[in-house]
Amino acid sequence: MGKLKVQVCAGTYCTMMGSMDIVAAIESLVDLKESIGFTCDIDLQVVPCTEQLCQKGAMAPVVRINEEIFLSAETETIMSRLLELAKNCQGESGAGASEK
Amino acid sequence: MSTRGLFTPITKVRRQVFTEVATHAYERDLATPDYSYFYESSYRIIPGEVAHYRDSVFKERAIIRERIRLAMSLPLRPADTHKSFTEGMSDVAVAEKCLDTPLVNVIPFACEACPTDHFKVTDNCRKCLAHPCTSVCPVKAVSIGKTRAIIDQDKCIKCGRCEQACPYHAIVRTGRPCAESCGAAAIDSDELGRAKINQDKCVACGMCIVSCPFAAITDKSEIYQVVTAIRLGYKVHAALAPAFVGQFGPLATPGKIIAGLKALGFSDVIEVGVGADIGTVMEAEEYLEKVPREHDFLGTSCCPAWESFARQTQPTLSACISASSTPMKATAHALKGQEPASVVVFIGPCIAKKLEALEPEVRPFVDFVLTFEELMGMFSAKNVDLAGLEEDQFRASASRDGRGYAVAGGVANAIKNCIAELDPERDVPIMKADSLFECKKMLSLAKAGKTSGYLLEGMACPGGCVGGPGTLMPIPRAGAAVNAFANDSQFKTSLANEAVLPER
Repeated sequence: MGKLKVQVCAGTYCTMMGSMDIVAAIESLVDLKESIGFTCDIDLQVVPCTEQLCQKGAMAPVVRINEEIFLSAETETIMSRLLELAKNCQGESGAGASEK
Repeated sequence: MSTRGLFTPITKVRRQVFTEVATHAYERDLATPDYSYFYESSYRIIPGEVAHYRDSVFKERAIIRERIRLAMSLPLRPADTHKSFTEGMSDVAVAEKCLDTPLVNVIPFACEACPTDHFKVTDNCRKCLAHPCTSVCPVKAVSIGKTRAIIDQDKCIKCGRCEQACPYHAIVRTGRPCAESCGAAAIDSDELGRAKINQDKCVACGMCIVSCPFAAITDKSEIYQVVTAIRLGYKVHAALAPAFVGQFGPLATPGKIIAGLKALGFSDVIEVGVGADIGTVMEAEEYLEKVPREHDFLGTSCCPAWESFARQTQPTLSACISASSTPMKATAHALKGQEPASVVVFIGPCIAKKLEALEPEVRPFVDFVLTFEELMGMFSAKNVDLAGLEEDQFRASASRDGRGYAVAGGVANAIKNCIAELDPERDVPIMKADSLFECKKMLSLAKAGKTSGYLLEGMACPGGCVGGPGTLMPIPRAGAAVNAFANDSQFKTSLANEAVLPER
């Protein structure tokens, strides 16, 4: 089974701009696991602000999925990206290999 | 459902406004009044030439400018006569209270004049043969039109029978989110059909503010005056309400939040949970002394929106609502006793506290009230990264029960535990209500004499203070953080708290 590493910034700017709502949205995906065929493990981490990628809040909140960085992240973009990636990691683990 | 508790573009704009106001308050030249910065604010928040949320970018910026005025404690401007955007700003650039009623305001031209409460036939209607909607209507308001059922709004008495009878769920009840969220029924209409708050009924619970999907309602803020007081060198103390735990993200521990407040220029940070402990003991003693001999029951007094609502709607029961100090007042009273010259700022999840602080018996002790969201604007303006700070601590700690005030059920629990310690023989039946709708039902039961001997806990916000309009965290997350911090206290009950002793 594949694994997705998701890091959500909990610095002041990102928290103010709703990063914890993104965390709640990602956690909520667990409830939908069966209906969306989501077999990936999500390693969800809440991380401190280290690189100031948000440029003093202008681009907050910041989310990183594996090595991909999302600036001004919104729950809908993050959730749909996670679902896309979840399909791929199914393929890698062999579970979805028969399809195409 | 409502927009409450979700991060939406509205939440974002509101916080951007707080940050802009706090930034100017911290950075302005105190000697020369210049507010041109705020003209630029509206362009920073609404950049470009294309509208972001509404039909016009100019209207969006005009709304931002009204929000900025309210965030500075200024009144709205009339839309039909000329008045400069910055008019009055130098009068509120002071270290004194400028906030005045009305606290909660509809920005009229931001309001979309949503239709009021009515039943509507949607395109789910299949114009079926049975059409039970017509047969169940007691006033013949439903008829079958060319393509679907039609409801004659003049005849409709809103009984809801057609909605229940429809096999296709084609009939819905819909109305104004502001009015639906208002348990005090304080939302009327102006002559243009826009929402208008009946200030005689409004208890400033703030639910309409976080429920309006068009961001048309907002309250006034005291950010500017608080920062000015700090910058003018006053000793400004922050009194943090029990719901503060977890509000600034999981990495901002209570100790780091205290350190962050000091980085903003506050002299000391006090846990209002200690005031809650004092209030708990007062209310427990009041219950033992007066119920049932003098009063039929005892209603809690810590939630100002519940308290005003109860007194307004059921004046005959007024005496049964506790007369003891709210945690805010108890805390501020103790602080002013120690340092009369200090400035006390209550920081909480609550908008109704801003109204409570205007009451003559509270005003001498509480100088300003901020919400957690407004405080976050200050952290943002000063670029305070909470997670990176060294842990600090409160001078005196609240008990587990005092800290538990922030979650629905916590107040009654604290008082019940205290009564059990003072008089183990007494059995205390409890009734709880969180939301003004629930409070209204509870008051009807009380009026009917069905709560004799009860302790009634009233809270205006669903979920309790952690569900307040001035919060930042999703409610379940916040509740869990509050409970963890409560269980961490060295004192279990309010009576066990040694900080309560000198107040008794």
